Amino acid sequence: MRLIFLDTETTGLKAWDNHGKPFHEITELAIIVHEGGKEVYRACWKFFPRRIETATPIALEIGGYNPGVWAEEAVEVCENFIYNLCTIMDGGVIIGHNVKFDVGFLRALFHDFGIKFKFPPELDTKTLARMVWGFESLKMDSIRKNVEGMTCDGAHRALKDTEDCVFIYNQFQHMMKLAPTKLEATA
Amino acid sequence: MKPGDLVRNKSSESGILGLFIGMRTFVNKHPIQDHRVDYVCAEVMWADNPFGNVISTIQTNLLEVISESR
Repeated sequence: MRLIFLDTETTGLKAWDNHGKPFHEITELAIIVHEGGKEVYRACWKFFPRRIETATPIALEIGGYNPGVWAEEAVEVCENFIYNLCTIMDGGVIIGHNVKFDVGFLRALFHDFGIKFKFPPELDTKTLARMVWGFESLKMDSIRKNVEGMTCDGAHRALKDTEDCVFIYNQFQHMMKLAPTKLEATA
Repeated sequence: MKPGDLVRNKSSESGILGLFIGMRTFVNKHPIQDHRVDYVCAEVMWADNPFGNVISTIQTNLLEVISESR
């Protein structure tokens, strides 16, 4: 089973507008694929916003959007690119921090190109982090500040955030190894 | 089956996936005479729930391991 760790940076918080049409969009997407406990694929793409007029300035700032850099490095998002994403994700399990947010934006992107795809099941590293550390605040920045081995340097860039999802998943697996197999409850 | 394994619910039509957390024992506090049978089942964090990753118990025999943890 392939584990698809991913994160997106976006132009805002709303993948869909009030009429069910795609609204804000992805500016950066990172994917790290693990299979059999090993990393087998890693990629990070910048997407040029096609509806920049809908963008929220603060979201662009947080996501590190820079028109000059994007003009040079952004990939052309086309049907073939989306189909490649389908191939990468198909049959895996998507893992991300507040993963429904990222998958929502991917669904909107696919909708933009009229491509139907049955998205794989999702695991949220927020849930895993709660189990591992029991923090009240499960924001990624808050976890970074409180966990040894994590840092806020380079945060809110898709690849760094994806690497941190891998870190949280590995910490969860480490905890599971140490955990007792049997828990007792009272009927 | 080890904690951290990815498992599938065999009785689910869509083959819902989850992470096996561990075994949970429900102690029978009211045994009939001296016959005490506790209920032991699996605890799984489900991946497909629309409300997020819900953790719930399930009969162990309804699970199959699809990917072992390291």
